[in-house]
Amino acid sequence: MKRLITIAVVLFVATPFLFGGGADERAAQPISVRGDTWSSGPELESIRATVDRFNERNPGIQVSVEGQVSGEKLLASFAAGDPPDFYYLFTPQLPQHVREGMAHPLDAFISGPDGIAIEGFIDAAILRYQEQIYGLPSGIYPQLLYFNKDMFDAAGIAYPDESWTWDDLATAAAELVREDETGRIVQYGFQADEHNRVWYSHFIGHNGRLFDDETRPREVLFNDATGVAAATFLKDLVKTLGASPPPAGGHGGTAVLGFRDAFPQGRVAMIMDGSWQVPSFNQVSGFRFGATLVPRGSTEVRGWHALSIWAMSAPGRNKDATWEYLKFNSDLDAALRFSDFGGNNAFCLPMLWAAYDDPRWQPSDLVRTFQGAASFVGQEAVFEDAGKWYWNIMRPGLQEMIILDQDPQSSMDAMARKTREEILQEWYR
Amino acid sequence: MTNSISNRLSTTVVRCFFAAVVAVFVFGAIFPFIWMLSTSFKTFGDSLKWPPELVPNPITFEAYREILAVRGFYRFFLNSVIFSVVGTSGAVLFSAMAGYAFAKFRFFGRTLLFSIVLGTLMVPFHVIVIPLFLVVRHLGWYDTYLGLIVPGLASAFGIFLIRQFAMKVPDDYFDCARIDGAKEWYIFSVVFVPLCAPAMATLVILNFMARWNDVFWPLIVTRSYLMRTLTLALTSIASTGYTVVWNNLSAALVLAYIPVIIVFSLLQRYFVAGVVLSGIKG
Amino acid sequence: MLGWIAMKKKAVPYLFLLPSFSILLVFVILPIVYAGWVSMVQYRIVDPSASVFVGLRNFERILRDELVWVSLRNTIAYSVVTVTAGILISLLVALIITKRWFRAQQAVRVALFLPFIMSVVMAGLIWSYLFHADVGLFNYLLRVLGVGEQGFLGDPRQALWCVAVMMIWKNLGYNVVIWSAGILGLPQELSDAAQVDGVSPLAEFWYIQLPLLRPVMMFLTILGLIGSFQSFDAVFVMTFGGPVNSTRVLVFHIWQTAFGFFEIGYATAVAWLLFAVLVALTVLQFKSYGKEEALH
Repeated sequence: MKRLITIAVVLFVATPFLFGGGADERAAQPISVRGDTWSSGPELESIRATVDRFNERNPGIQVSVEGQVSGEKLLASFAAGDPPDFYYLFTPQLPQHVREGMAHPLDAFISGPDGIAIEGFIDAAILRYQEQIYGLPSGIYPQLLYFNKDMFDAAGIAYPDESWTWDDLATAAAELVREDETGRIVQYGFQADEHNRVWYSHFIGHNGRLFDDETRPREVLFNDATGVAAATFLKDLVKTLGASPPPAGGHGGTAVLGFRDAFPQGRVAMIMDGSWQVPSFNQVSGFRFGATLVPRGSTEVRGWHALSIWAMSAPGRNKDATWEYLKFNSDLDAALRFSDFGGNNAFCLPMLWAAYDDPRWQPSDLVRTFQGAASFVGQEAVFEDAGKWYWNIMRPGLQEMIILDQDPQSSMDAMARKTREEILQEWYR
Repeated sequence: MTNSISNRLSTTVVRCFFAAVVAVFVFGAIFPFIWMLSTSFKTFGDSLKWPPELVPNPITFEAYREILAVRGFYRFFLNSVIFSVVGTSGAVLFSAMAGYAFAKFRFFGRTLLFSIVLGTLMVPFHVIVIPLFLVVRHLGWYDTYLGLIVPGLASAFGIFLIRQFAMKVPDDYFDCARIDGAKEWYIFSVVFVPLCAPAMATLVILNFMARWNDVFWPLIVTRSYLMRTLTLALTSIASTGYTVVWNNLSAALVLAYIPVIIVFSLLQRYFVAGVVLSGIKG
Repeated sequence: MLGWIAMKKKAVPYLFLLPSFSILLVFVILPIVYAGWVSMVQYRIVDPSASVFVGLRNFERILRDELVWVSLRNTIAYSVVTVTAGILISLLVALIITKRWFRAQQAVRVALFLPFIMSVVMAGLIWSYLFHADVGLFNYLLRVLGVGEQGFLGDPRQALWCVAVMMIWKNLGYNVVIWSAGILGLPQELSDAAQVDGVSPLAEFWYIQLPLLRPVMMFLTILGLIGSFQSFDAVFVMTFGGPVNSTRVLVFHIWQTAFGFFEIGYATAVAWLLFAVLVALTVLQFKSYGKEEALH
């Protein structure tokens, strides 16, 4: 009996050595190219549809895309010497990708014999850093102002449109607050979970400049009047107008109802979010919503634009094959299909100017209201440690200002100081 | 006389009070799980309802259906089982062997080696996670079961626990067996292991729990979608970005909790806290 | 012939040690040494051989990094509260259930152990839902009782303590079990003698039981603090370091530096700081509990 147990245990322990393998081996022929992305849902399906079309036409190259790849996994795959050939890149992280030798510049491919006409792209759609191009998108994802049609109808307010200013937004938000019999607020006018992003939209919409040189910053400029005005706007929405819930900070909506849940659940009248949310809002039955451009500031720039972009990995061994796919993904046909030809479930806009004049582009009513955004997208600033700046300085700084009721000017000054000390420092690089 | 009656009365009152205190804690220990269980039977809309309800209306299995329909769900379960079972058996076996050596033998370097074992307990996992990952990668074990399981097979805590426990077991059993001419492995497996059953059972529970619930190491060492463990997959299934789907999440957590409960209830009577305490008494 | 047998006999303990030690060597000790090197370079992920040696510069940077000290402060506050409250509460419960008149001792221990065996992630999510500012049960109860609703995990002044409450809840079962074992292990004669002498239960506890339970307390505090200081999953899943960095603990900062910002070398240096803090803590505790309870 004891002997049996011993044998069983030994067998147990030996199991991993017998079944040591992981995922299946890839075939040696044809060339296989792998892409990693954090996407899931409709976006991933669109990506896979493009991949399938490519694979059909290019039997010598087989592309596969893996979704829901987290930051840790991406990093680990690079560290393991098993990186993807191309991957979705989160814009503020580009500088660290370049620093670590993960992202590969595309200029040689673009202007080479097998290149593409980069001028046909909407300029803000290209990811540039230190005078080189590092990313090409499948579409443009402008920030939009989403609104709940039922709530606007009930309040008798006209729907937001392209002519709205930020003040219009604040006024409407204040009028759309509702309480129940016990005095508990059951409906807010506006919810901005990503405070640094709304701040940034307001800021660049009023011609704000973050630094003297956006790619190699030396001086902090964002605590000037424009920056303070943007911060004051956010604070007023919560404190003075009571139109917005206090920020919760954190991530993942565990502490409070995140704006991406509150909106379809009918708890808030307006939010600002990227166009990629359209399909998930469409899925909520009986939910009538609209989308328009981010309000107008003093310039034509309307809101930042989230670059969900494909970068080519530097250690990848199949760069030419990868480029074939990226090129395929960048042409007019792919751009139109990826944006669902303007159908109701379009979660992005085409990144090529030519697409909007193409007869195949048939924008639905919803898309028609926001397709103008493509012309006015602003761009996220890309500089060394931008990610750290967004996550650790701007976001908590703005939230702290609102929660702890601090004076906007001193808040911005504090953020500027931290930026100077921690981001602009060169001594430890 | 009245004194002793009133004494007994106040004693009873005091005892009732203390029993109530304990009852509150027991309720507090169980209720959050009940709440989660209830949420798992709600629709997403209901999980956001105010005022929140204890009994879902209607009771629905849609959360469970959605979670079980996730591609690869059963494979994730299998991965977790392999990871936890093999890892636990191996770790407990090796710890027992090492603890046996430290407790029942005198040999050169014994103190030094044991101090090294204790020293490694101090080092937080996050110090070594990347270097460990690189070692695993060098061995070609990235994204394999080997990489997942083997690094955890050495459990310094387990060695420590067994050794402390074993030091209390009289040496006579082993001396007798040796005099009788028994082989060393026989002595270990037939004499030592059963004597240390409480310690082993304790280790099994703690190890299984730790592995089943571990998210970080599987996150680092697996790449393929299908190599994920259950708890890892569930944490990423249930929340994306700012959206937390509470009912699906609850269902996922309930499903991941069941195996731990089963293992625990099977072994619970063997879990003797005295084992753990033997670590601190001489 | 005899020499060969003697050698075989000598080899036995080493053979028993072999599996554990070879794994420990390759997968723990080797990485530790490697981590020493990593913390002194600017580590390059794709090509580690291109890493630049910078000596102690990463550690120097720690001194100037505000967030490291914020994290350390949060970690200390969180750990002290979690461990102290946890130990005291569980001691109270253990004292009650080990009394002779208490019948359901085993059942209580099992019930209290249920939170302990779940993952921190699961416990964290359960309590996030309860603490949820908009749809959580606690705010509903607070409203019904007339006390105002709270921000809980969304309020920078409350968030860390909410996480602490979750952790105390989770570890209660384990602590109670350990305390019970300690209390039950006390010699019965002392308790009998105390009763005969007419010592009040309170005095009995304070002067007789507690000193004898010092080893147990030491065990629980040392392990509790070591564990608390390395806390990550709880914060990661409940608050993600927010709001406003109020729940940013040291391991969270290490994780974000490494996996968010790809600064592996610096993150490893901060991890060594954590190690140093743990060692200092443990040494301090050994000193304060006195040398009697050494581990031999």
